[in-house]
Amino acid sequence: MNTPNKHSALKVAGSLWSSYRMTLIWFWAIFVVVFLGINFLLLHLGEVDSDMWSEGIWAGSVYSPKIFLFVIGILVTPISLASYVSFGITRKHFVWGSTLMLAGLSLVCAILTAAGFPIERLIYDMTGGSGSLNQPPLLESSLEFFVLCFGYCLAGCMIGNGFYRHDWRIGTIICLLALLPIILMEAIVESGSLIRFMSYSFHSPSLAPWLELILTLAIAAMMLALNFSMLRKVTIRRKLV
Amino acid sequence: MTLSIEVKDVTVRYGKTTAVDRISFHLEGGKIYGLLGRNGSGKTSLLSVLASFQPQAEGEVRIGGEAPFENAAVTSQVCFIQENGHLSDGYSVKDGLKLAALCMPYWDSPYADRLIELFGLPLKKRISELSRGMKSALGVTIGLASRAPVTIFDEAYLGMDAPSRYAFYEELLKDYMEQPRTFILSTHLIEEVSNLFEEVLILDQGKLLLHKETELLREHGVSVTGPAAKIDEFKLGLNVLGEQQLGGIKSITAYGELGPERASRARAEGLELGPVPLQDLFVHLTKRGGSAS
Repeated sequence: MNTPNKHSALKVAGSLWSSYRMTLIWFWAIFVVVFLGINFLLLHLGEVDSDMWSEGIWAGSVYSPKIFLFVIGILVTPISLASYVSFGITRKHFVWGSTLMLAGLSLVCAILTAAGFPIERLIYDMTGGSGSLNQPPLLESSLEFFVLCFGYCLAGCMIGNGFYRHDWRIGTIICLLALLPIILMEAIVESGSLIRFMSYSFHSPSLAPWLELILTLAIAAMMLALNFSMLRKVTIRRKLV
Repeated sequence: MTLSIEVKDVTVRYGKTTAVDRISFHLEGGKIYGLLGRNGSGKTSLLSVLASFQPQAEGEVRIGGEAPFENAAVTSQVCFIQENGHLSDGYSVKDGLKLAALCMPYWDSPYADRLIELFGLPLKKRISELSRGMKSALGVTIGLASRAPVTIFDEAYLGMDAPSRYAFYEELLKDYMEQPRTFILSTHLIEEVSNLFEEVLILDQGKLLLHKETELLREHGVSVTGPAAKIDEFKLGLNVLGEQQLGGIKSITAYGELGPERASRARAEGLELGPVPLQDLFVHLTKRGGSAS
């Protein structure tokens, strides 16, 4: 069990991953069951309008993983920081470790979200639906989903860290400010390949995918820096959760 | 491995409140220290600084010659256990021990297993489901099995019942004899643990009232009992910490060297001299207005 040669940040990432792994599995299991259930009901019990076929139910539900990650982000510091610091882990290594774990969760969610679109279309085609998906840019969209999911995690962390470090007044202000970067990220990404999956019209200036990626990554880096600055010298509080 | 601790003019503030006020001391490595003080005297604040739970507002702290705050080389050598623990309530006991084993470089798994058995810790139970005593037992298990060169127990064993507490004291002493390291114990159960302490630090209202070897401190306290009139005459010039009178018999607790001359005078006058338990000395010294000067 004792692994003195492993970097502390990796120890944090590994143990947090094993803590949240089951939560992730349960979330996706419930998500998929609910998705299949809604599809079953729409196909067998009700009339399905043409918009539903073209947009798809999956596209309408992609906010759910982001909110899930947002909540995980809020909880990470209040639940775990004190345990790690009392066992000799520095705040810096905790921030790196938890960020690594959140990146892992975001990656899994991004891959599953992106993979859901072609699978949904396949199900529709097999059950007589009229929607179609031509040459889906899976890699590009997975990257966009990943950056967005990661952004939601970091925004959640900003809120959790804000309330952990400051009193409720400043915490509330940080809570509102934390929404700005994700709104910005959503606005940037909306002009990219995600929109092609969702199949609705969008008239803002289109950005090159690489520029989208750089801009969203820059916002994520800024949030990461803010999170680190909030925790860098934070006083460890008595157990909150 | 033992590490010394150097604290120089350390101040800790919470807003406008000063919890620790310019405290300085040096702790040699490989000893058991008792940190005593009344509620709100600044014990936990001081220990929090040593454990890097918070930075000091002013002053300097060195553990093994290095500043501990956010210094992985030092923080990995320190284990800080508080009564309420810092593990999330959602963890099982097994998860908590697994996390401790992962993070602490000197973790001794066989020793942890033995302590789990000794305290009867239920591995599968969630921490939220444990009684106060069991939570304390989990804390002391982690603290002892961490084998951290600096291990700090901040009232960590208050919730345990008497047999468990005595089992803990026994284990601590045995472990210390086998593998000397620096232990700092903050407690209100002074009489129970006073025999473990090699040195005692007493804090009062954020200041260091005294730092002495336990034996020396005990020698500095003396109780004198006898007829009230004789005691009143005898006490002149002594640093009297407390007085008690029952009918014509009076007893005083004095702090400071009595000296051979005064001791023989007491005996000649039929006054009874006796030792003062550490707890009584602590009570007298920290009574509002009390002073060790």
